[in-house]
Amino acid sequence: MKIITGFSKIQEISPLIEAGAEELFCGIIANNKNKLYGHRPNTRQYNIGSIEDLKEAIKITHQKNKKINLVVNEGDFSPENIKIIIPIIKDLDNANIDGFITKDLSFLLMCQKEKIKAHVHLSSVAACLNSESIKFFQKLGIKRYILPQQLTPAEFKKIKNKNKIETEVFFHMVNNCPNIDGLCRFHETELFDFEKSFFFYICRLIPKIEPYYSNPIQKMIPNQKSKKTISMVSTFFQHRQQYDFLDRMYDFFNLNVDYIKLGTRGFPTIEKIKRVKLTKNLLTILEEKLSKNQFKQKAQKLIFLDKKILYQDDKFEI
Amino acid sequence: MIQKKAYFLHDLSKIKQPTNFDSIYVGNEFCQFLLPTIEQLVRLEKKIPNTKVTFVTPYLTEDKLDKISILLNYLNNNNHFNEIAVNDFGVLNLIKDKYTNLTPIIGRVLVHNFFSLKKGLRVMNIDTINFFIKNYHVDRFETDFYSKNILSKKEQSQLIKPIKISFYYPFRYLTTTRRCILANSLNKNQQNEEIIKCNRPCIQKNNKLTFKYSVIKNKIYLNGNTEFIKCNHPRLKTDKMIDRIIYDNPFE
Repeated sequence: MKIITGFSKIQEISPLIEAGAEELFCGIIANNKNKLYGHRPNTRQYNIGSIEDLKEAIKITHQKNKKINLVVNEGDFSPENIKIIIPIIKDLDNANIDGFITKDLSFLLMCQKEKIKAHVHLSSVAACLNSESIKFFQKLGIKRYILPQQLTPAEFKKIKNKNKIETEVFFHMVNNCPNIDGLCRFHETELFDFEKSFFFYICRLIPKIEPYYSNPIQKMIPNQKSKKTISMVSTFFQHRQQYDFLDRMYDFFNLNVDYIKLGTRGFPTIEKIKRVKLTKNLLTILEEKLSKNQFKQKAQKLIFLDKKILYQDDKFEI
Repeated sequence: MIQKKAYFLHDLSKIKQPTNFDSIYVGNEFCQFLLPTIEQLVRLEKKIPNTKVTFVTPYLTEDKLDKISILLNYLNNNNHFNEIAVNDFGVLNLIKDKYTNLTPIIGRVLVHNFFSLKKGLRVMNIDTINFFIKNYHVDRFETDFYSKNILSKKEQSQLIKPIKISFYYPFRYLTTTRRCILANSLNKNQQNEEIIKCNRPCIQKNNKLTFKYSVIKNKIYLNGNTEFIKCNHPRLKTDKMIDRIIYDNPFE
């Protein structure tokens, strides 16, 4: 299993590779001239500044014999914007970028039509949960399948038996989506104020819960069954847990997923490097072929030594 | 253009000839455990033989591909079910490869892949739509998000075949999860795992809930694993692109 990590500054490339990253990915600040939007906020914290910077990043990464991919998994790929995007994608293809990460049908069709030689990876937000869906996207040219966060190892095992595509899995230590992120409209709706940071965590808030009443008369009749349901749903919200990331890491490692991806591109440089080193150490423990419990014990000790990472996860990872 | 009305029938134990509706919808777009059985479909066919039925399929995990294949095979050999609303590209792929008698339509979950945001409006990408008309024989797209000028007149003229749009009301879906809020809550042993087997508590009326988040103005309606808000746009009934309105109220 190889480590892929995100970056947002050219200066981060060398230290990330030295820390153990085998492949890198980044987004680019999108504007009216390039229209290359990603799934993360369109800011310098998350994205590289320009096409020129990206070309420089490709050069540096290739000098170190590593690969680099660009995230273009969200945005307006209308025909007029595709016209703007085509020369940029061709330009990056000629600069030997290794891959594009997308879920967008128009982008995939464009890559096929323009015979782009860089590989296209299916983004985890494509919510592709079965082997037939992967076949559908393979017909559109994808070469790598990034597992949706909501896919379990047991489900992946069944998919893998039917499809031998190259695979990649996200390694989120704390914040993974409780909802299917590719099918979630919380982020798209006009209900929220996009400027407010809590917007990203809305699915982790605990709502006030009431029974559904189809008419006002129903509201006046006490319903014990509804009360019980509400109490159980409230408890569920209070104890709604994250996925156990060590469990998942162990399972996906043993299912021979090709790449482990660190969604850390918005983190400060030092945190990105720390996370790559930690992942590399965890992979070394996994190579020892221990039982799951033994792995988790060793891994937890390792993480405890670097406890700061877990606290900072909440702050940075969105 | 006359708008036709469809009724989404959630409870297949209460099949009635629909009055004031031109067709019915059965199935589910959010939960693979709510797919009907072939026996239910046979009963439906017998009870309302002259009503057009659209079969709605949800997003699916690998485990349910076999079940959906059995259902698609049945539907493929049956003229009663004239359309399949797909909400998973895997199902679209199966229809194209194996069940060629069926007419796929793009369901309201999958349809978001065909929209782009343009100056705050949701618009459809003509080239992509043309690809799906040509290669997947899709001619209808369904949505629950109203946006003016989904396709301009100029864009409509660029389509290789006219498309039709259906609109769901009175609820629009916001989000959906594999860790079902209701089923997981009621199953103490399985609270933080994906549901593998489900006894479908969401079909009971006592389990229909509403949520109020401190940061959202609207009331949210919970049906099993999916959260909705109410939607009803004043332009809905006069929009010439929309030729079908689907009344879908899982809270009835």
